[in-house]
Parts: sequence; C-alpha cells; structure tokens
Amino acid sequence: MTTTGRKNWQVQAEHSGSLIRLQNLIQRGSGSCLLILQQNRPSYRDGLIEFLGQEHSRVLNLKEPGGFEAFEAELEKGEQGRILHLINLESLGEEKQRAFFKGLNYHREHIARTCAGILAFWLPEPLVREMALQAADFWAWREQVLDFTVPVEPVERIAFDWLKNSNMEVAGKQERIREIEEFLARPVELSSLSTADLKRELGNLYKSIGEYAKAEQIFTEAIAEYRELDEIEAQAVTQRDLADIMSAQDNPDTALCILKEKVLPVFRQLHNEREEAETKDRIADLFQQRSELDQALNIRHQEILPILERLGDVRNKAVTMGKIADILKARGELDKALDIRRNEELPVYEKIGDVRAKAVTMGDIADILQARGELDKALDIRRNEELPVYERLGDVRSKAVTMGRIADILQARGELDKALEIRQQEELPVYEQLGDVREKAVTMGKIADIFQARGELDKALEIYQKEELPVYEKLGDVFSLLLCRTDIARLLHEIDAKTNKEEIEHLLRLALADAQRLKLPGETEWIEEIIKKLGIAAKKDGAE
Amino acid sequence: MVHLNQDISIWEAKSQLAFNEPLKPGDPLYVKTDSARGDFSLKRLYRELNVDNQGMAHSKPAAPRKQYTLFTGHRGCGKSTELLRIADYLHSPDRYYVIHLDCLEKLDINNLKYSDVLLALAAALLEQLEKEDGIVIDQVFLTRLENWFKERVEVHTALQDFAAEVKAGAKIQTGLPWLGKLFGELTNKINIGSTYREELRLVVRNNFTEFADAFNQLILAGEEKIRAAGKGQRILFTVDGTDRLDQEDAPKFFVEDVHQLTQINGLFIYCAPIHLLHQDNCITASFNQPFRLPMLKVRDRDGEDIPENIAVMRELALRRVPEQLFDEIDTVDYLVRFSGGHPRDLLRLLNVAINYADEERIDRSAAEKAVKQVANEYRRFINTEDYSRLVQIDMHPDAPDDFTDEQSSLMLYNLILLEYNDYFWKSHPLITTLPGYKKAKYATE
Repeated sequence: MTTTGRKNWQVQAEHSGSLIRLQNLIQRGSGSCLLILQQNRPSYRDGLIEFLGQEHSRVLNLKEPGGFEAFEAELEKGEQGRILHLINLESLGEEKQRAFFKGLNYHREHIARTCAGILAFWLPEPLVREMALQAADFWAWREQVLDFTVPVEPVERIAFDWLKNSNMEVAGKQERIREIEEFLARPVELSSLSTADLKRELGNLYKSIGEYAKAEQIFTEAIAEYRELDEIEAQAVTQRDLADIMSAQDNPDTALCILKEKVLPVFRQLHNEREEAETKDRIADLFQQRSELDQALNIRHQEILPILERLGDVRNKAVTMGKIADILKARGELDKALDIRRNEELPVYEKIGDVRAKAVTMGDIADILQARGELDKALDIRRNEELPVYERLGDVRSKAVTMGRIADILQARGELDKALEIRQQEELPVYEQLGDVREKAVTMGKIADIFQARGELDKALEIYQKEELPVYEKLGDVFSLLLCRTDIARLLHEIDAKTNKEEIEHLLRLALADAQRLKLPGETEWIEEIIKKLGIAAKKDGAE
Repeated sequence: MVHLNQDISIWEAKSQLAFNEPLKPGDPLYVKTDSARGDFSLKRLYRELNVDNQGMAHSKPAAPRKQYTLFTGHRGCGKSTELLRIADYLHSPDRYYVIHLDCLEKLDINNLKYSDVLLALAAALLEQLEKEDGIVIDQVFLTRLENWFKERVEVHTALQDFAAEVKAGAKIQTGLPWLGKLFGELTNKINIGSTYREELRLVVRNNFTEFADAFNQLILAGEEKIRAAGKGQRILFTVDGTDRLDQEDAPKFFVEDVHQLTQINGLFIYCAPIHLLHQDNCITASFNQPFRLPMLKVRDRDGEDIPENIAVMRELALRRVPEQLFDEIDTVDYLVRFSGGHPRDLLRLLNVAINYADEERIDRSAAEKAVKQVANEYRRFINTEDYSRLVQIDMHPDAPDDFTDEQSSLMLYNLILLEYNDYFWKSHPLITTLPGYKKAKYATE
C-alpha cells in the first residue's frame, strides 16, 4: 500500500505510471512547464500533492486569490519553487473562470516568464475541456495531461494470493488453465486490465505445476500488457513473479537483476514500503540461494526489519526474524537460530493467533533439533504440534511436507520400511494430486535413497534416472539436477565402477561444472572430494 | 547531416523541446521548412513589398505608401519563428528598415486596443532610430509628437502624476532621446497592471487624428533619413502576438478599429488568428490578401507520405533530440507522420515520448504511447458529430469549400483539421487513431 501521512489514503494502482512520470518531471526536468492534472476528488488530489513532497513545492488555492489578476500577483511574488500546484479553479464562478481562462491565454508568455518551474493545474474533467477551448493558446503550451481521476465507486483491485491456490488439486488447476486460455484465445482489439490480471493468474498456475517456460512466457505477456495500460505497480509485481521463475530455474543472477533494476525502483518511487520490503525479502532469498549468507543477513537486518518496524508490521517482522534464523542455521549457528524461533517468532504468532505460522515455526524448531541429532524431540513436535494443525486446517500440502519430514527422521533412525510407506502412501499421492512435479520428483528421489539403503540398487537407479532426473531437466532446476547427477554417479559406482566408469565421470563433471557456475562452494567441494575419492582424473572447470 | 549536441542526455534534449520562445534567426535549432510547406514560398509576400527575387527593394514602381498585410497560420505552425526570419531577411540596406514588435512581450494583449499597438510601434521606432542606429531626425518632424503629449496627455487631470513621473530627472525635454523615453514610458504604462492604462487609451482615442498625423510625419521623415544613412529603403513594421486575440477581441481589433489602424501611413505585417479569416469576409477590404503559413506537407491529399518533406521534419526533430537517443530512425519518422506536419505537435510528441521512455532512449513503444496520449488530449474537444464530418472531409480532400462552415472553422482553429497548401484539408493524423473516428469511418464505408 502506498501511503502518505493521510489516514486511509493510497495511490490508485492505475495512477502509478502517471505518478512516476510526474515525479521524474519534477526531479529531472528543468525550466518552466505546464501540466494539466485531471482529478475528481479533492481529498485524493491533496494526498497526491502531499505524496509528491513538500520540498520546493507550493500550493495555491485559487479560491483564495479569487481571480486571474490576484493569481498573477501571487505568481509575481516568485515563491513557487520547483512546482506550483494550482487547485480549486472550479470554485470560482463561471464568469470568473471565463476571465481566468482568457487571462491565461493572453498572458501565456508573461506567466511562463514569471514561473520558472512547473505550473500544475489540478482540474476536474469539464474544466480541462473548457481550458482547451477557452484558453487554446495556453493549452497549446501544455507538456502533458495526466489523469488522476478516481472511479466514482472505487474498486479495490483483487490482490491475488497464490499461496491460497497452492492447495488446489492439479485437475482444478488444469481446468482453470483451460478456462483462462480459452478466454484469452478470443480475438481482442485492446489490452485490458482484466486480461492482464488473467495472464498473471495463468502464469502463476503454470508456475505451480512446474511449467516454468510457459509461466515465463505468460508473465512476459502480462508485463507488456500492464506496461501498455500504464499499470506500473502491477507491472512491477509481475516482474517479481518472473524473477521467482528465474530463481526457481537456478538463475539467481537474472532474478536479482530484475528485482533490483525493474521492481525495487518502482516501489521506491511510489513510496510503497510494504512492497519494497517484500522485494528486498526476495533479494535476500536470492543471496541466500547463491550462498552469500552475510549479504542476505545484512539485507534482512539493515533494510527489511527497519521498514517493518516503521510500518508496525509485527507479523512480517517475525517472519523476517525466522528467515534470519534460517541463515544462522545454514551457518551452523543452531543455538542462536533456536533462540530466535522460540523467543522472537513463536510468541508473536501465539499473540496474534496465527496457528498455521505457529505450526510452521514449530516445524522449523524441529528442523534444528533434527540437525542437532535430537530426533525423538523433533519427531514429537512433528507429530503433536505440526501435523494436527495442518489436518485441522485441511492443508494437504503442508501435511504431506510434514509427513515427509517424519519420514526423514525415520529414515535417519534406520526405520526404512516405515519411511518408505509414508513416502509412497502419504506424500507422493498428494503431490500427484496437486500437480507439483518438483516435489513429486524430490520424493521419488528419497524413495530411491531408501531402495539404495536397502541394497535394491537397480530399483533405485531406475527411479533416479526415470522419475527424478528428467523432471529437473525439464524444470531447468540446475541445483537439483547437479545433486541428482552426483547421486546417480555414486550409485553407478556402487553397482559396477568399472563398466560405468565413463558415465560416472561424465555425470560428476557435469555436476561440478554446474556447482561452479552457480558459485556453490559447499557443493563444489563435496563433488570434488567424490571425484578424488573415486579416482577420476580432474579436468579444469570440470567441463567436458 | 551534422547535428549538434550529440552527447546530450535525454533530459537535456527535453529542455530543447520548449516551445515558449520562437527561434531567433541563426538559432542552431532552426530548420528551413519552406520547401516542405507545399507550393509555398515567401516570394509572394516579398513581391507585394516590391522585393525582387534577388532581394532588392525596387523604388519604381514603389511599394505603396501604405499597405497592411495579415500573416496567419495554424497555432504552433511556426508563425512567430517565420515572422522573425522574414523581419531579419527584409531588414537590410537594399530592402527595409524593419521595426519588429512582439505585443506579447511589450503589451498586455488582454483587451488590446489599436492605441496600445501604435504607441508601442512609435516607441520602438524612436528607440531604434536613436539608440541602435544613431539616426538624427530634425526637430521640426518631432515637434508635433511632443506637442501631442504636452497638449493632450500632460493636461489630462488623471495623467498629471504620470507626466510628472516621466519628466522627473529629464534635463532636456525635447528631441529624439526625449521622445524615445516618453513613448517608452507610455508603452510601459499601458502594459499589465498599470493604473494609467485606461486613461491613456482614452486620450489616444479622443485625439487619435492628431497622434496619427504626428506619427505619419515621423515615419516619412524617418524613411528619408534611413535611406540617406543607407540603412534601408522604407520602414516596415512587423507585429507579432496579435494572432492571440480570441474570437471576441480579434474582430474588434482588426475589423472595428481598422480605420484607426489604417490611418498610419506605412507598411505593416500583422500576425492574425486563422479564425479571423473564416469569421469575417470583410477583412480583405482593408488588408491585402492574407498570407497563410501552411502546415508542413508530410502527406499528400491521398494520405501518402511525401518523403522529402518528412525528411525536413525529421531534421527538425533531430536538431533537438539527437539520433542516438532513439532506438531507430523509423521511430522519429513515426512521430513525424503523426504530427501531421505541425511543428509544435512534433515537439509535443517528442516531449511526451521522453516522459514515457523507460531507458535513456525513445523506443517505438514510448512513441506509440505518446501518440495515444496526445490523441486523447485532442479527443477532449471533439464532438461526436465531428467524427463523421472529418471522415467525409478525408474522403473528399479536394473539396474543402463544400465543408466550409462554422463547424469546420472551429475544427481548423482547434487543429483537429489541418490545412495544407495546394489547398486541401485533412484530419489531424492523431485524430484518426481515436475510436470515434474509426467507428465513423467504418459506418461510412
């Protein structure tokens, strides 16, 4: 939400483009310039004026000087600064308005000489027309007419929450995709906001079923359409969706570039701090993805938390603290991470009654305990604190994820059959139903791990090669791909090192090349060690 | 073509798109547009002033003792720039001694009267003769103007303070320097916000014949001295800014008060609003055949491009916004086409395209948005019934006379309809992008 100090005031999404252009003109333009700003609601107009900043600006209420001559006398005082906002011309009587327009028309040059900055006339639509007709020469010197008209019945744009769609079954998603595509296939002459929004929805649907290429294409179309419609804010939000796709395809550099260059500047210009914090959160995620943990930590501490504190957003502050805990955990600082979870996150969710967030945090605590080897405690949390909440909420995905974590613990404790049963009966069917091909592949990989641990090597290999690897290849998920290739190589070595020598070498070199390309020091070191251990001759950069 | 400012940023280029000052002769941004205005040449204007193709003013047959020419054209088509150029060309020892007055700068044209203009012209003549060219006029030719002031202004009760103000500090109250100061002050006092304005106007109006005679004497004597000094053959007054007068004030100035204007024996070129020509058929009784500055003809009557004229407008754009600030040259041409050959609209389109440019360059998308935006601005004063009229005119460009009426002249005035030389009208290309136009066209077809 873009706000000023005014209560309940916010920029209408459709004005974001005009507003940014106006800011550019104020900040980057020079010399005198005439702007006509169409408006129909004084309180909204005043909010916009406030939003544009008080520095170097002045507001002249034309109702007060009361006529053209008084207006000119005010101008001659020369105190207008960079921008002089002229309001309430509509409050003058018809005769005075006519005289005003005539004065503007005849004294155009004098006004331009007197006012060295921007002269911004805020006018209702009928007066814009009257100015064009009655002060045609003055009108002819306009820089631009910007429309800040608010719909008579303001319609709140629907803010799509794609998380709510994540539990939609794959059949439902496919049906919705079909419906949207059928609608979009109809010939339409002009771009419209509703079709642009539909495209964004479609992109997110494709994203949710792992069809990243299609999602990328649709997001690109939606972005172009928002741009055409001058919906700069929606354009930025969709650019962020696109960055998510890039990130999911292990292309964090491109994602980072989009977020920094296309998304963040828009929200900054619109003073939309909430979206700015959200975007910075994604940026921090990307640094985390690139293993640049200090950078990520710094953004969360120095940039995101202060914004959320300013906004009084306790919930998101707790979420950010949770993400800081994630980083600490990744750095091995488990106690610090646990302390944050218990003392900074959990109490907030309890206080605001967010049972889901509390359950997720309990899960995170279980993760730390699991990492510390306290498997029983972790299992207890999973079974008694997490699972019942998701069951109560009907959140099938989270339930499946939690079951997966339980299976991880069982697998770690050597209870392979029980783990396998959970994977096959509780996890897999849910991901299949949701059309979540990535999670299905990950789960298949874990099933293969169990087969491998049980000595059923051929079965494991078949799953890796047929159920896991092709999915990552299709998704362009380089990170998962390099892990999977390494697993296959190790398995092939276990099956028959001599016969599979060439393929093992091939897979490990590919994996190493990707790890190096993604700048993953931990994974690079790990693969290099395996290569060394298996006695494979090193090649520079690991390339073939 | 060599362009200036090759390395400027897009925002620096934007500052060069201001259209609040006409270009002075010799300005590096100026582009000669004559060839692109269709069958148009300033030669006819020059011939009326007896200036031959070699630029010589012929004394025999002499230019008439008095002649009043109206110089007109669409708003923003470059009238002021061209008038300055004409004044610059004609101001030459072989041709004329030009006194140029920009009413918008020197006077308050709100409720402008002939008296304001004539006093200002007298002041400009006196100042230029004395200060710039050191031409001395014998006192005998100045006495009547001095007396007019003494007998008519000084004695007027409401103007006595003003007269005292002017005289204060002037040791010598006679001769050219004194008259120059006097008329300069008179012009100032008739300008914006002066308490003496109405009284001064009243004095001039009530004693106009005396003033006109005295002024005529000054002009005649001045011309002799100018010729003797080798500064020009005759005095020519060029008056800009009077084209701003609206549909109410223009007839008062050019029609009702024409008798007073034409009592001054001299050669005058007045800028006049285009609507005046459609408004009043009597205008040619006192003025020469008006001289109309047409649009640049970037398209023919069938709407086909005229490449050589597009090139002229392209040059006009590139002088201000260098080529490297566009994604490709086609983008410039795209904007040129949609300007309809109207220079100010081209500058406006460039200006708005810069506002829409995402990066530091104007790409096609920014240009398309500019076209859409400016077209929408025009839409504000088009009535629904105008669209079908515009479609009809576009289908019969050769017969504008069939459509000449108040509705069409209003559309010409508002630049919805553009007039080109060889005499044809066409809808502004921006208008043809509007849904209303498309709908009307579809209905007609």
